[in-house]
Amino acid sequence: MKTTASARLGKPSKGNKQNAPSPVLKVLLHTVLWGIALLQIFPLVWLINYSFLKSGEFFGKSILKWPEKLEWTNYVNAFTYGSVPKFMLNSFFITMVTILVAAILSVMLSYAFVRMQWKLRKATMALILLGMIVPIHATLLPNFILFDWLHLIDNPLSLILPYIAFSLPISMLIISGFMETIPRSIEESAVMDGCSVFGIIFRIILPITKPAIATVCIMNFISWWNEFIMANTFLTSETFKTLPFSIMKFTGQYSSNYGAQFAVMTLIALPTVITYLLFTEQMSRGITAGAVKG
Amino acid sequence: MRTPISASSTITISPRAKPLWKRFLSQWQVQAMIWPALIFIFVFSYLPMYGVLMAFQDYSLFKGFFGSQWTGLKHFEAFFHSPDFFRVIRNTIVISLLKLFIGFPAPILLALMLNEVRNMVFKRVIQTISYLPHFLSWVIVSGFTISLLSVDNGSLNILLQSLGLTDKPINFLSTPEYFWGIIVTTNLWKEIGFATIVYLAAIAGVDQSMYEAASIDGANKFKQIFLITLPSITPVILIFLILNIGGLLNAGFDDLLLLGSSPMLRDVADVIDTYAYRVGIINNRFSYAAAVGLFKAIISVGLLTMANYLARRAGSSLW
Repeated sequence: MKTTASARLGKPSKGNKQNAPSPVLKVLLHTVLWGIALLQIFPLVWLINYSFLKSGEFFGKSILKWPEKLEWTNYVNAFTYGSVPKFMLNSFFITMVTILVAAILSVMLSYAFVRMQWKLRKATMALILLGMIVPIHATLLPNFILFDWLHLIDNPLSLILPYIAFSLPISMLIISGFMETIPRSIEESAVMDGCSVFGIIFRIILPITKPAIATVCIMNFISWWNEFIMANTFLTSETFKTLPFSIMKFTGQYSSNYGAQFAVMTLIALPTVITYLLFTEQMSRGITAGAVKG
Repeated sequence: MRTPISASSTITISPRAKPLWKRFLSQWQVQAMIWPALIFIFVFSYLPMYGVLMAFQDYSLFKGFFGSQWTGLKHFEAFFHSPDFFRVIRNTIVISLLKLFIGFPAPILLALMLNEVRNMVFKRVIQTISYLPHFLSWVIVSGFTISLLSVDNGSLNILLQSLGLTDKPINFLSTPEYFWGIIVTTNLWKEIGFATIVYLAAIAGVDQSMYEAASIDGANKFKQIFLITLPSITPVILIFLILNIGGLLNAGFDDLLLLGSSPMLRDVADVIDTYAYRVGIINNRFSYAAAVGLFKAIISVGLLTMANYLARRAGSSLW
């Protein structure tokens, strides 16, 4: 199944003009789709809206409460009492190290699979791809015991290491799929000019593979930025906690500061939503490359 | 691909008799490319599978894996006879099937509808918006779901009351009867856009000349959808279906843990995975949790094999 970028956007099918759907159907279709879009976007608008409300404004008789004026106190609270800057830095550090190492390793791995001939190549590739079906939560307990033994509990490495391991199969699949389309002649001439293997990878393959690497990095960023269960299991002290833990600072047993909670949620969502909106094209390319066989 | 480094191999007299480590050295580039990644996956994805062996012993953190006593099938028996068994299995299957029946056809429907839209900007906007929730973490989704459904001033209760459908606010998240509906709805909301993109890509790959021929023959839009579009994307639909059936015991994890954490909901929210997580990591019954996990894995492999067998007979398969 070949899908080019233009085809995925849905080239309008030609030749349907003569039996175009009736206007009633068209209006109905558009109404239904607008309804779906509205339902999909409503909670997000609601979330941002509420993050700007004063604590007194929550009570009222309307579904959406527009703030009278933008109230930044919630964000100030989030930053001061919720340790948002510290946790956000932790999240950024952990995600960035993960996607960087995962990208480098999967480029090298893909190169070895696509361009080199060696014994057990097929078997190794299958072994790595099979890693995709290992469920993350099945590894929680054994990894917990492993990290406990290595004294890595409550260390950023206890997140970075498994994050990298779980990023590799899909990253390798996407990058090697892209690499197969690169003509060999460039590398051949580089070898003639005396370029080493790593010279080829870093000076020739890396620049050409950039689009695929970008796709992989964005996908990994979004999945690990949002990860919570592993972080909740392997981190115990304040020092290394990631952003989602900020929310818990505002949930008490008897009273909760909802405004600050919504502010933190908005702050967590913001980087992923912005990344998604900026790179929609790369995202959907990655999804279709990974999910559609052929 | 030999490079200057392999000069070290000149020391050896006969290339055939080269010891393993020297051969390894002479190929250091290839080795350096493969081993780091392989070690990562092996240690953190595959090695944890040794954890299944804990199911057959009385694992203790102090004695370690080799010091712990082997106990055979004790923990499996304990799970089968425990009062939780029936409840956990029922919840797993019911939640999973509900997600399948509602979450599986919905993206196909949305993709078919989006495909009929001629206005590219409109189509793009709808597609982008419907895909957006996929990128939010469950921490956020469950956070605002709890607030939207809350008793005191949740928007849903306000809406229901203003429409006159209820007199007093409903405590949605403490009422077991509503829980499955809430889980299915939030999952549908979050994930509908993801599969839609894949189906749209598949639909875009359908040969356009078939539609032209069909419309010349007088087939209307609905006939074209049923006779051309759907049959053309059947392979993709089947692959998704196989994966879904194979994952029948994966009823969800983050969503159930975050939305169903209240002990009042345990009767309807406990599935195999969350149950194993709770007894394993929170109550420290490692071996028992491993037995529960292994039981699930065995059934899942069986289901996947069965689904793939059925799909192969239908002409499409995973392997």
